[in-house]
Amino acid sequence: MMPALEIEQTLNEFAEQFNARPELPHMTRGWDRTILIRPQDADWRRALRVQGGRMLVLAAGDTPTAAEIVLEGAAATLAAIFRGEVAPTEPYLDGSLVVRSTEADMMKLDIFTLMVWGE
Amino acid sequence: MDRCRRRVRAGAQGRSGRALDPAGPLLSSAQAHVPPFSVPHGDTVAALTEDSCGSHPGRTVPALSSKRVVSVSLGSSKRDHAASVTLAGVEVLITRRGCDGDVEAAVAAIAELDGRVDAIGLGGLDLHLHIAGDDYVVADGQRLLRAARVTPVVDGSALKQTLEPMAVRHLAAHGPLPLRDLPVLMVSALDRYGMAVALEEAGCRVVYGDLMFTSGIPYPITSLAELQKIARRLAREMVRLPIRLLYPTGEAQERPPECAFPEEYARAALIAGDFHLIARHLPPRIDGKAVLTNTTTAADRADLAARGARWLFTTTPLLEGRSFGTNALEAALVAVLGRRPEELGPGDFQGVLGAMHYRPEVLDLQAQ
Repeated sequence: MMPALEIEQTLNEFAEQFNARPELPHMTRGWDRTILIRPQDADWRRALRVQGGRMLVLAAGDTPTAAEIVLEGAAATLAAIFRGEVAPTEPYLDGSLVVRSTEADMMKLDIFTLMVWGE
Repeated sequence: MDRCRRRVRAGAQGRSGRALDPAGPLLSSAQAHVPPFSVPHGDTVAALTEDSCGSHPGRTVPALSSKRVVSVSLGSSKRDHAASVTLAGVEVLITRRGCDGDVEAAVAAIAELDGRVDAIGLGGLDLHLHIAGDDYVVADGQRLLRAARVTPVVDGSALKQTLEPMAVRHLAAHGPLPLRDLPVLMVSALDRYGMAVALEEAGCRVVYGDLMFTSGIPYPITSLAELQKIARRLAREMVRLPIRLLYPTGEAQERPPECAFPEEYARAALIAGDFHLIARHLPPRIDGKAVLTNTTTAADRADLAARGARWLFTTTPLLEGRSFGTNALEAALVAVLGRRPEELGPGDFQGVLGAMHYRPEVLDLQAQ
């Protein structure tokens, strides 16, 4: 079972890469969202918050129980997505990643993630 | 009888009989639509030359044979239409069949038509996106392609790569708008990269709306170089998604416009790209602006005119009162040429279009 510390490190790195991309503050303008990461095979939860064009990792104690976007899957899958080892498209299409959000938010998160790791 | 006969429809005159000088400067508002080769049923258009037909000595072709092509579209069935046109002495019945966004219905339609028509066009999605030398396979498009085992299936992109740049170059050379420094909003460029390049080469100041108008992301892309960089990051994964997430299909095409990014429409003098994307976010007024697109119906043109648009340029010709998608025209050419799509290249289409004296449709919407 993936420990929470490992996913925290992954999310911190992802947030750092996100904040380093010059386009993303513009692309996320007006899109303040909480992204809840909820593994199906672990008992921890973590969350990211996009606010004012920047991304931060919420402290464990501040993780909400609900969010505009909820990502569910095996912890390893979720970690692989945020490490850039797997694009979110494939696990989404094969059902190993469940995205609970509006379609518009799902598309935007997909695009923003690809802007971080794509190519 | 020669297989390829050159017979040019009388003059370049509109239905009103007034000639439109494509080489002239800005046209007066009294001059209306002049079809370069819209052809009512039974008439013969400028035909193909022998070279473009690829005919061989001693080869004979029936004096008149008819072909049937069907464009299977993910679009609304309310836009279904049929037209008959004669190309190179061959009567071609072109039918559009909309599947209302239902990919499975489109697969079934193609399977049903396979072996029974001469070519099938795919509307509402591409088989590939061709962007700056890179090729991205569209997953839903490939599903439709596999539904046909015999009949050639085309998506219009091969023809588009030739037709659309030719249209832009013609407009740059002949007006009615000078394109140099013209502010342009291209609502999506990744599905018509050739048009994007041609507009840049013509000196237009283009904003690309791919992120804005397909995903609602407030990020106008302001150069081809940036468009290519973003495409390299996104396209390979995005083409794997269901098409409905990327493009309005079925009922989504019939919804009233939801005006988005009005400042981009306001800035532009020319709005270019796919008509469904243009229409989806159109502001109530676009006074004096021009639209460069294809696939318009009489109702579309009336709507643009009512919003104050001045010019409509369509890259495909009007047939029976509407412009068919490039996929339908490509299917018709494939049927007439009698060759597999994979055997045809830009040179073949250039030859055909050149022999037809192709030029884009130019319609003064306020002169109707």
